[in-house]
Amino acid sequence: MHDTLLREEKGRHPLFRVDARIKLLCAVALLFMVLTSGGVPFPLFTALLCLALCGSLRIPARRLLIRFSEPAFIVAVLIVIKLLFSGHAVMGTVRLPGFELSCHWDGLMEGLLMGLRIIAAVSVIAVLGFATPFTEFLGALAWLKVPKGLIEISIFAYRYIFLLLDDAMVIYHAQKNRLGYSSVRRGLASFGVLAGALVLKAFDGSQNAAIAMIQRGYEGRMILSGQERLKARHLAWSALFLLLMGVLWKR
Amino acid sequence: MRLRVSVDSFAYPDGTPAVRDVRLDVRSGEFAGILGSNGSGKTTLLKLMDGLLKPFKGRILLDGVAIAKLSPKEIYRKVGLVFQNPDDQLFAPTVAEDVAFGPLNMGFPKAEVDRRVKGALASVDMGKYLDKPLHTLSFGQKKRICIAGLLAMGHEILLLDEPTAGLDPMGEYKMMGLLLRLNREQGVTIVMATHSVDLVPLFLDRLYILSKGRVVRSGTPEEVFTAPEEMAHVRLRLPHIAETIYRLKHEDHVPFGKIPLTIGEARREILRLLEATHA
Repeated sequence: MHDTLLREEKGRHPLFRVDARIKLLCAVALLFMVLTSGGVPFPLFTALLCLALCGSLRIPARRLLIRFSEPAFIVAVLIVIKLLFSGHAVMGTVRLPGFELSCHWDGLMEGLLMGLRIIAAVSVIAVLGFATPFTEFLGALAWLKVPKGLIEISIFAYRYIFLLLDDAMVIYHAQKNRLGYSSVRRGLASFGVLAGALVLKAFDGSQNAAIAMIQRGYEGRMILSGQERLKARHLAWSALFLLLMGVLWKR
Repeated sequence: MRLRVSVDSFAYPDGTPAVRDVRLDVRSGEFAGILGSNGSGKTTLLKLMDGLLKPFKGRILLDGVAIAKLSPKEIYRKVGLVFQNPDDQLFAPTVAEDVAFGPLNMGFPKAEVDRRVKGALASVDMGKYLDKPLHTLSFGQKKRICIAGLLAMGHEILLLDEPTAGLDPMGEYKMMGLLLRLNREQGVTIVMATHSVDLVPLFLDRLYILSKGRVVRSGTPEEVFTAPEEMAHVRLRLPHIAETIYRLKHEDHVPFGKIPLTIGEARREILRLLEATHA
């Protein structure tokens, strides 16, 4: 995830010291408010607040741009669709050979509002992701009674995705060295072989992991480390924060 | 804790014979090695000793009790196997969580789990890597975490499959030094499979040479490493320094006494000869 960053910032930024469960609850509440807000100001404020937090967390701009590139593209498409195909108040017309396109003021506003909601929601998740180690996040999910099977799968996925990525790169480079991607057709065939090899490697890895787990006492249920008690100070600050955001949301 | 192995035969389900007539007696606190070429059956033997492969003809006794009569839980509380590839063994997201996996399954309270995790990581000199994600560690560091994961459970016998494979020369020395420390200071009984003949005489108490699934020689390194021809017969060799001195003695007739197995011993022997020549 953002481990290097997390280690560098851990302990320095107050957000890291907040319990992951509180951060998760706040994020869920904020998502609810963002998605149900009636006007532009609240999602705009939330997005700006979260971006400022990302800045204070010293997230590199490049990383933020990558994180927001996909939602920004979706928002852009959404605004164009809303501008052209939604609403009644025509603000202008583009005439093209054979047909004409009308741009609608109310469609634009609607698109902007939806776009802002998307950006604000992604910003909230970004702050949560940047300020919470993955394992603490999983612990918080377990505390929220998310099914244990799902959490165990997430733990394994987090560990093995890097291993499989390494294996995939090794196979890819081996194929490339032997002209496996010299044409589109060969590339597709090589990619198919790569995918098949990865499945086999994943299977072998799972067998070994199962043995390793059994010899360390695994009996079909993964025991997660116990959670500490929630700190009253953190609870009070988060309640105050949510109260303030709630007031803004109501307005 | 004593581990006595007496395997008459073991074959894989496809019929491939892997181990035959193997007799091993690993005493408590011993640092033993199974030396053999690739495909000689080292890993299979370790898996048999850890109760992972069955059925087999013969008996493996853990403190006098046949492991066939013990439940996996009872075996794994006493004996732990460290795989050759650490990525096969580590599955949790971070170092602390992986090492804590065993103690948590053993039902220890959180404070005890924390104590064991920190103690085990300190034992393998990885104390400052507590919160590190596993995928950011080097190969050698991952091997240490594998060992810590078993130490945290309080294993009395560690079986290690090629613990120095894939490590650079300094990494090999550090790993062997770590294992020696665990053996001498914490009393952990260690059985390791290896083909690093140069390192073996420096660290191991007892050696078993495995060839085609059989133990062909056993004893202290001095008893086992005697002549290059005999080692070549089992696709191994003497340590480089021993082979050099052996050739000087037998081909160039330099009057060495016994064949030294380590650089230190060779140095002393050469100095003795030089002093004798000057005198």
